[in-house]
Amino acid sequence: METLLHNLALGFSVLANPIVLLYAFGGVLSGVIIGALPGLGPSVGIAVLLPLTYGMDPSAGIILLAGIYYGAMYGGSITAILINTPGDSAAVMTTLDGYPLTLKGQAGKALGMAAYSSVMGGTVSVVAFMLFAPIIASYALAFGSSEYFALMVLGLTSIAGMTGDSPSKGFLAAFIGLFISLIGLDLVTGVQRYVFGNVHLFSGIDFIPVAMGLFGIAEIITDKGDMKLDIDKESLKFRNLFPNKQEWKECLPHIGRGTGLGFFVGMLPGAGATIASFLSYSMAKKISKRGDEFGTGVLEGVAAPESANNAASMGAMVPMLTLGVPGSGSTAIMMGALMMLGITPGPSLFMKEAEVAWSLVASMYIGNVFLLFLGILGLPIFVRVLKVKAPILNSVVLAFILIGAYALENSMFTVGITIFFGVIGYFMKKLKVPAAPMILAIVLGYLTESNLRQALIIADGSFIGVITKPISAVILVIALIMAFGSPIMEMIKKKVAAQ
Amino acid sequence: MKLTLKRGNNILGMTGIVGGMIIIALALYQELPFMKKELPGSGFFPILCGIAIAGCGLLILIENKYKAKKALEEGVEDSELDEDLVNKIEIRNFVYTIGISIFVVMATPFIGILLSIGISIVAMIKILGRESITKAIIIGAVTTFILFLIFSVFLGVPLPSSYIGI
Repeated sequence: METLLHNLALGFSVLANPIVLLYAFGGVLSGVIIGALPGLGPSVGIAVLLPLTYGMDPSAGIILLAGIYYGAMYGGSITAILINTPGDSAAVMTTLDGYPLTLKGQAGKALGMAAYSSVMGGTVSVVAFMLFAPIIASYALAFGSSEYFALMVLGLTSIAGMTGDSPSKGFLAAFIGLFISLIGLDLVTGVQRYVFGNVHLFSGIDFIPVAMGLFGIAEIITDKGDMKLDIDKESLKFRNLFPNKQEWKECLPHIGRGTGLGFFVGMLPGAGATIASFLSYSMAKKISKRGDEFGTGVLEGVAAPESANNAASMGAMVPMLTLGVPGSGSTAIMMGALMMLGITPGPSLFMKEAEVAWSLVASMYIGNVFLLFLGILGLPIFVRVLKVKAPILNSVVLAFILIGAYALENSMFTVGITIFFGVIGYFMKKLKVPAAPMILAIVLGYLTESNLRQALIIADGSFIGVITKPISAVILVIALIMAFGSPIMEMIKKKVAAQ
Repeated sequence: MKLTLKRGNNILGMTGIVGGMIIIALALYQELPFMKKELPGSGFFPILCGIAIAGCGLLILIENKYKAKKALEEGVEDSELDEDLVNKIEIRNFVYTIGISIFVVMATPFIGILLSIGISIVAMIKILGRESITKAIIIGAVTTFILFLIFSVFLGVPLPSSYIGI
């Protein structure tokens, strides 16, 4: 306990720097704005604003990105409640009761409850993160290259198998991502792979221009146009943002359950905030005395998914920071950003880079305070942002993407790659091929290959020797279940039903 | 010709199969060995990726065929597979967004990146937003100035300038 408090104090000492604090505030503010804009979820926000962290101190960089991440998780609920359009998939469940509340003239109360439950879910999850992460990291210290290879496979199969409608499309995206990660010099043998004399490709294709293209440019192209905002301004007044005592009494148990559920679901690779909010809403509907009224505009229907999705965003950081295996598109981009800043996430992060790791934990506490502050006082500003016309917003975002892509390597070639992946991203979106597995595969590609090759060298070239090591075998079995579990279960169910 | 999800899936599946085979062929062309001294060579992962991509393409084709057959058997008229993939707004967005982006790449060596981006913002707002030219120019100039402050002044990125030094 003493060590924990000492580490936390170390984290807070970094935040004593006003500049770092400003980054945390800026991150949360940008996150809420980005999250509130339909389509621009946490992945897009982090991808587009990533260039801001170039050359930054690693602690400040990751604090900024984490702020964008959980800010966007809350921001997604603003449009979900006001115009029945979720800012990102994790806010879909919030529309079910959030929008009916707006129709009843209680938009302020719904937005207030979304802010309180997000902050509560987020804050309690930070405590859980602080307790769990170092324990998982200490166990993972015993992992060798074969266990790491198995973990990478788990990360990739779970996200490919569980994202989108069709696992085969998820896997296609993941394998294309793996292939992209192989372009450049083979760092083991020094052989050029798929370079064909192009000097720009010698160091490979970075994940940042790919992410900016797949998420950013593709989103601009598929933009549906301006939103129609018709809100009762009276309901957004400060005094109307606070639920009454009875409403608190009804919502608090759901916030507690949603937080616990969200954190653990968030830790599972591939599951993420969307599934957490769905499960939390379903659980609340079953448990609540007013279960029948869910969907007609009850505050519990906002509190349950909102606490769960913010808790899940904290939970998702556990495997990313302790094992170096991101479980979602957003955490994959954050992991790539950390590597770009010279920090390698993994079990040794909490020992070798204790300052970075613990300053991130400390920033989450402060960030949640900022989130509450912004969620309550900044609401009128966010509503104004929603009124900015789509072409104006898109032109600014596109400008940011293009100049950000250039700044990555001071090369127009990178801008070309971003545009190319923008085109690919558009077609992927239309064909319902998820982009997150591709990004995750690009980030993990090199590590997966090098760990497998190292493991094979240690096992004298025996692949069976690599996959039958006890921990690797268990992880790989879980990976197989994650990848093929749901289609197999569906087939069994259909056969049983047919009989 | 309507581009439906069903047709799109077929194209995706075929592209996956052909793409996977090209990856394998290029690995062989570049003489990347699959195994070297009983250990994986530099062609090991690329060839595996090629096989996997082709396999996924095949699976997509099979899945698409199965879904279409099922929809036909169940008599579903407007199944998800028959929905039109593209609409006029998206085609317009696609042409202008990609066109403007390519303009930035082509114009940067001549007029510098900031000026090209400024022009692209004005063009995008004017064409897609149908705003007044004055408003478009003001937004373009302010955004370009902010980008200059962030990237050139704050982050110290050496942005390519034009012949006149902007």
